[in-house]
Amino acid sequence: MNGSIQQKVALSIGLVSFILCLAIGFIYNSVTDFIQTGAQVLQSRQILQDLNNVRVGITQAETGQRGYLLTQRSSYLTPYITSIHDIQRSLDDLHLLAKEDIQLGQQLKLLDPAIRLKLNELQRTIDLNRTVGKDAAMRIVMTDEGRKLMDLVYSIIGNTINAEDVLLLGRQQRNLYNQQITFVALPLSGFIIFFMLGLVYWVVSRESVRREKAQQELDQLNQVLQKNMSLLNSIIENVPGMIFLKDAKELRFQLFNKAAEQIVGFSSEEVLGKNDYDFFLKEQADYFTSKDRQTLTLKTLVNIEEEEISTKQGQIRILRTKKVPILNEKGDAAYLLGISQDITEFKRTQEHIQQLNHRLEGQVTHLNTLNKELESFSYSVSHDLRTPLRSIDGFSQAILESAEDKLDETEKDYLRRVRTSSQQMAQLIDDLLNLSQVTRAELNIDLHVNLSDIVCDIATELQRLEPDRHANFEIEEGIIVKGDSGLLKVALHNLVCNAWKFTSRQPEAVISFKSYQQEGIQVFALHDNGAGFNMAYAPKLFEAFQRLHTNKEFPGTGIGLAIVQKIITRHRGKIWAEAQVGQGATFYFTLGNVQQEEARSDNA
Amino acid sequence: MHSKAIVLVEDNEDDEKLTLMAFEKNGIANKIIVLRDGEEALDYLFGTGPYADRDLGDKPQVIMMDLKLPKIGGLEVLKKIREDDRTKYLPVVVLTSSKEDQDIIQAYNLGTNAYVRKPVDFIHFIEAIKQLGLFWLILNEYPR
Repeated sequence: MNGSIQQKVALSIGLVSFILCLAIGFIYNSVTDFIQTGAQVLQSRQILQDLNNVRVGITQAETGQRGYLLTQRSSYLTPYITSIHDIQRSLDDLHLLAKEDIQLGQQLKLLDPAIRLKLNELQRTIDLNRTVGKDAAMRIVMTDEGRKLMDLVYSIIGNTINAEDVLLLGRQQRNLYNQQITFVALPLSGFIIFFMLGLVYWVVSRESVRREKAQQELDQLNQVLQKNMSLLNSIIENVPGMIFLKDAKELRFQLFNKAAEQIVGFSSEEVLGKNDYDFFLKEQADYFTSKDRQTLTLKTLVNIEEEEISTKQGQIRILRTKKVPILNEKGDAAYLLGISQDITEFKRTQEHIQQLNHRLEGQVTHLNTLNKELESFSYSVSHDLRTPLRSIDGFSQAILESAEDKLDETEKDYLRRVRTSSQQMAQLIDDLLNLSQVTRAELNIDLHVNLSDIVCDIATELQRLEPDRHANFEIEEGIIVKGDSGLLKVALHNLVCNAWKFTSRQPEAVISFKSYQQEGIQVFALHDNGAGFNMAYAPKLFEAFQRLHTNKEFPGTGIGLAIVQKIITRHRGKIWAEAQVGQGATFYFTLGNVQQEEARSDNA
Repeated sequence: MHSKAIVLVEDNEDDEKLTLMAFEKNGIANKIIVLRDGEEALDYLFGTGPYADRDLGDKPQVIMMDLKLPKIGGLEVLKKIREDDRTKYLPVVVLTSSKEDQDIIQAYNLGTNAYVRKPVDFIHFIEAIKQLGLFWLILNEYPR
């Protein structure tokens, strides 16, 4: 059902009233009709009574006249006179009744003359008896005139009674019908009214239940709303960012959350209802206000990357703020919502980082200069340092050849020592250059570098150079890695040459190259059964110029392993060694996941 | 054997001496023209300056040249040789102490025929000169 309860109740009451009116009207009608027909029945009965009285009266009047005429006693005239009065009274009555009964009126027009004629005939005979005598009167009686008049009167009265009887019957039936209708209509109306009242009660009570339920739901909704509101408030209060709200008109603070209090130093009680000019420096307040106005006028978010604000304690904080207009339902700006973040520390850190970066850039420039110097130094070393060595070696050899006869063995030995030293120095220079080249060279990453093949090639070459040596190479096949093949070749060359060198005194050299997995990392191992070394010196093994053997035992510059370590480190790997004096040595290394770019930047 | 000259461009007198000794040891009897710097090398090759009246038709068999030279560097000389129609087919061997990748690459880019690093060990040096002489003076043919 739609419509308000008021409408429903009004409609119901209207309907009940309408039905009540109908019922009352109907009953009133029935009762009136009943009363009317009742009256008509009584009237008909009165008419019948009067007609009967007239008939009895006329009969008694004639009886009186006959009695008088026969007996000549005037006492018989008393009923005659009484009857005439009765007849006259009844006729008057009938005339009164005939005013509302047209049919009766018409019958009376017939009856009245017939009665008059009869009464005239009776009076005439009586008068004749008195004036002329009994015989004259009897003669008239003997004529059939009197009897005929009597028949006429009877006939008219009979007709009228018959007609009135029919009328009476109809009226009685109608009266009965009205009576019945009234008896039915009254309780029926009552019943309908009670039914309608019940209906109204039902509607109203149903509506009130519904209202009660709706009220409960409303209460629940209110509770939820209340809860949500307090949740929202608590969120706004506890958000770790400054939130404030100002009214659009006067820009007075309406909301100022906890973070805002912490940043600015003023409590919300101090701030609410006041504007920026009450707290901040004028130029600051001017700036804030102008941004507020801009936000409210443009009706769009305004982003303020940085703004300074002076706190209650007189400090300057730097805020990053977003200002948002809050529009009302008409689309006008009603409030200004501000969200600020304290970026003071961030700015300080940023400045610090910038300073550091600046310093770093300076250092990089310096480093680049140094690198360039080093490069030209390397170049000079490579070129210029070797030239005199070549002279020393060359001319020593020239003397050895040209003055062979004049020199004794000691002098020749000295000259040979000069040559050996110059050649060693040349080797040292070359190794140093290699080390610096390995450090500077750009990594060129190959996805498939076959270490097994590299070791194999080196072994073959060594064997070719010293075919008399007995050596057994055990090389695991198919060891493939990602890396700079040129540099890895240099590294493996150094390691294998070392192994070759340190096994030179073994009657049967065994050199193996294998790989295995350890904790998910591939480890490569180069083992030899050579001279080995004391593990106490292991930490010094990879330092440049560090040697664990004399040049006489095993020649070398002490740079080879430094180069190897450099190459492995540039491949983000590790290298270590295990050895025992006289039991050989094993060099282990790993390789990291190097990328081409990474390598470049590494080199830059 | 038709004996054309060998041009040696070398500023260091010791190296010059050692190289000449190496030629001698290997029995290379060609005339050896020693030039001291890049400028002199270019003057000689193109008949300018002190060599204005030189017969340019007398082309050397091979030019052996150091890279680090006074006045005009070896790489610059090499470039000029290759740019000029008169000299562009002359065999040039870079004979130097440097083994810097950059030098080697640049020398080949500019069209050197060989790059030999002078060994410190004089015996090795003699061997190297022997090989060079064998190849450039005997085996190699080039357009006339």
